[in-house]
Amino acid sequence: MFRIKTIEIEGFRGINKKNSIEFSTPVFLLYGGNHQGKSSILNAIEWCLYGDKCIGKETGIRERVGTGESAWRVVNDNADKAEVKLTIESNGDTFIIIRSEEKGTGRRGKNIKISLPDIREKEGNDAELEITRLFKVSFRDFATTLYQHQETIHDFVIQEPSKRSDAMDRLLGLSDYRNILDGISKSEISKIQKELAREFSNFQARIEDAINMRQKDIDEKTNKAKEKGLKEEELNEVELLELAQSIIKDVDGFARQLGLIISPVPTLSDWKGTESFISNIKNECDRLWAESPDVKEQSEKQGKRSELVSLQSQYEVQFKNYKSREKELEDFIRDNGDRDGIVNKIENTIKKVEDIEKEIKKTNSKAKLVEEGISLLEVASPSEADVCPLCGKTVPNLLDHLRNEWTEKIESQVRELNNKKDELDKRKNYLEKLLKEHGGLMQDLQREKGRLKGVINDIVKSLGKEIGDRDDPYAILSSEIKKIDTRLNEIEDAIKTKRAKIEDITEKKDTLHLIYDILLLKNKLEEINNIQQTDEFKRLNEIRNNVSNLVGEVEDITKIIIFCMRKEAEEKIDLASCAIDEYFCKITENPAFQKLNIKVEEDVRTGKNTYSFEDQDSKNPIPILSQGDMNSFALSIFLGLAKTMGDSYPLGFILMDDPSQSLDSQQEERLIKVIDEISERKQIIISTMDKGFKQLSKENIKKKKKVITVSDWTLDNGPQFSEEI
Amino acid sequence: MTYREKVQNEINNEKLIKLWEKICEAYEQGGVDQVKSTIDGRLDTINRDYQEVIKKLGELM
Repeated sequence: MFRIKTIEIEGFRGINKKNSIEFSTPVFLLYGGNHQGKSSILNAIEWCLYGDKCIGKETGIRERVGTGESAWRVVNDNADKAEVKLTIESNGDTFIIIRSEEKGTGRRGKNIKISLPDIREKEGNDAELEITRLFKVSFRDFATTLYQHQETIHDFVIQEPSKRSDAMDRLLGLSDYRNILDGISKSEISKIQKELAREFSNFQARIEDAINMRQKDIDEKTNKAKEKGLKEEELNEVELLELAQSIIKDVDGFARQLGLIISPVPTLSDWKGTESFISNIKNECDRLWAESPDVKEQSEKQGKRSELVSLQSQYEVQFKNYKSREKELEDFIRDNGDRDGIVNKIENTIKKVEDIEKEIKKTNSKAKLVEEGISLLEVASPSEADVCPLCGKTVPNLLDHLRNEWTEKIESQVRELNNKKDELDKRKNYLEKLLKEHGGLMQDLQREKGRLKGVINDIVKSLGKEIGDRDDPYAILSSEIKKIDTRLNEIEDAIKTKRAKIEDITEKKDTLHLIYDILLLKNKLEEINNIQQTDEFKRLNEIRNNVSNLVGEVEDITKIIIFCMRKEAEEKIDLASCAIDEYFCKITENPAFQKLNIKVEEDVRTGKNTYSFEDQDSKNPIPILSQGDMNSFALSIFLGLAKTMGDSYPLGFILMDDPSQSLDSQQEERLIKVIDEISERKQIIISTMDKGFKQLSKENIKKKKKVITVSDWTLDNGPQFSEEI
Repeated sequence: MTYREKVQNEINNEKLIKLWEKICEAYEQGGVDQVKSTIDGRLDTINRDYQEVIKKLGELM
């Protein structure tokens, strides 16, 4: 039996500075408060033996799951390297295992070494193999039957069936099955299988839709063909090729009728070339038609007719414009006279103005003399008042006479002359305006005349003959158009039969196209029907089968895993049930429970194990079990498995982490008795934070025991160890 | 006997044994998530082939 002699820990989890413990007694208690490093000592033993196997989700221990900051870190945060040295003894032989890990170096920084009693040393993988060979216990079995983790007790005590089943699986060492089932259930295999099936079904629906659509098109075209007088049995390739041949003959006949030669049109030998054949025939018909002499002449005559009609229309418009301007000028002359008349009137008016201006000048001279006489008389002496200062004649009241002459005669004469002059100026302006207006009308008339001449020139050019001044171009054009119409009627009669021939060919061509459309649709329908015979479609089914097979295989394996998991659980429980029952009764000493049965069943939804419990009366005891009872139950399962299976392993120690977490003092006392019994055959290392449990252990364990207090933990140094006897 | 051997002993089909070995290797290398990835990974290729064939058939229509 291998028993732990000493452990040296440095840089491992909560223990930074190097520290060692000697496990010199059958029972060993590590006592201390929370977060003082007790569990790190037990973890160090486990890690030294199993390395990375005790880290990660697969351990089934929740605190070992996580990455980065939340990871369960082996190397202490203040250390660069973790190293645990475990000295194990068996029948006087000493085995030393040293496991180390450098921070942040990955696989390279991990090392394991074992020193054997015969001085040999093994390292790395050889050391791992040697450990397996010596101790013959897997990590899973170690964690189930030799190391009672506090978490499994805690989860078991929680009143929640699914978590209790998880905890039971962990107690029974079935986490691997559970984890693999989780991995399989997370896979999207069934979802993808359903998606592929849905896509396949959609594709088949598309095929059906396409078939229905094509068939509908075929029916429509067939009905159209029947309306044209075709029978259904004629809608085939042979008929189509015969019709094509007949069309070539018709086109040839048509060419002959026109006196032309047919261009070589390739014979249709495969219905698939129909579209190209139809295009060739159409081009050839268009060419023959265009080159037919009648059609050519018809085209020319139609062109000429359009030209003459256009010229006639232009002439008509232009002639009207010219006549309109001419009438405007005539009306003007009638009202105002011609240009010469207006010019004469202007000259007369100018002369009259000049005469008046002379008269005004003369009157002004006379006025000046009268004015001078008045001014002299006004200053003359009374004796000279009646003597004219200009001629020397004596006139009584001469000044009054002159003043009267000035106001009554000269002033009115000048006013009258000025009025006459104003009227003559207005008359002159008016006549000049008329002259300008006449010039404008003349210009308009000349412009329209020029335009009319231009149209007549175009007509002369178009007709190719001169038109005299006395000729009426409109009438000439009408006569020419009439001649063309007569000729066009003659041509139309001549080409009517040719057009009928072309229409026959076109009709046949349309029928040919219709048969072709039907054959094309039938061909497409056949292709769609044949899709299910293609390699691709076969491949599709093959892939679907592959997926179904894979899904089937995964389902089969899942069933086997579920079966094995249940079987193993049943076997372990069967094997350990007496021991579990015995320990449970010993720890609880509850008269209500004389027997406790554990049953394993399969969860209908997940396939995982679910556990049910029965007392001696086949009743479920869980509702009336206290937390202490549940704690006792979990411990009983562990101790039962440890007894029935763990005893068969060469490792002669049991590690218990906080076993008394929910026990009352009487249950603790009874647990200590059980531990005392077990210590007859096993070394027991217990970690506890329960002072009462520690005290009871000291008082009640008969075997040699040692208590190490783990306390005063600091970040730099880790905990301090002090021994109690 | 390990869980691996126990399950393997219950399988009587070579194909299933191979699949089980792959699942175990995945689990031992990368845990639960690796099991999921290994199974889904086998489907990836199949799914790709499937989409390609569906596309080709669509073109035929």
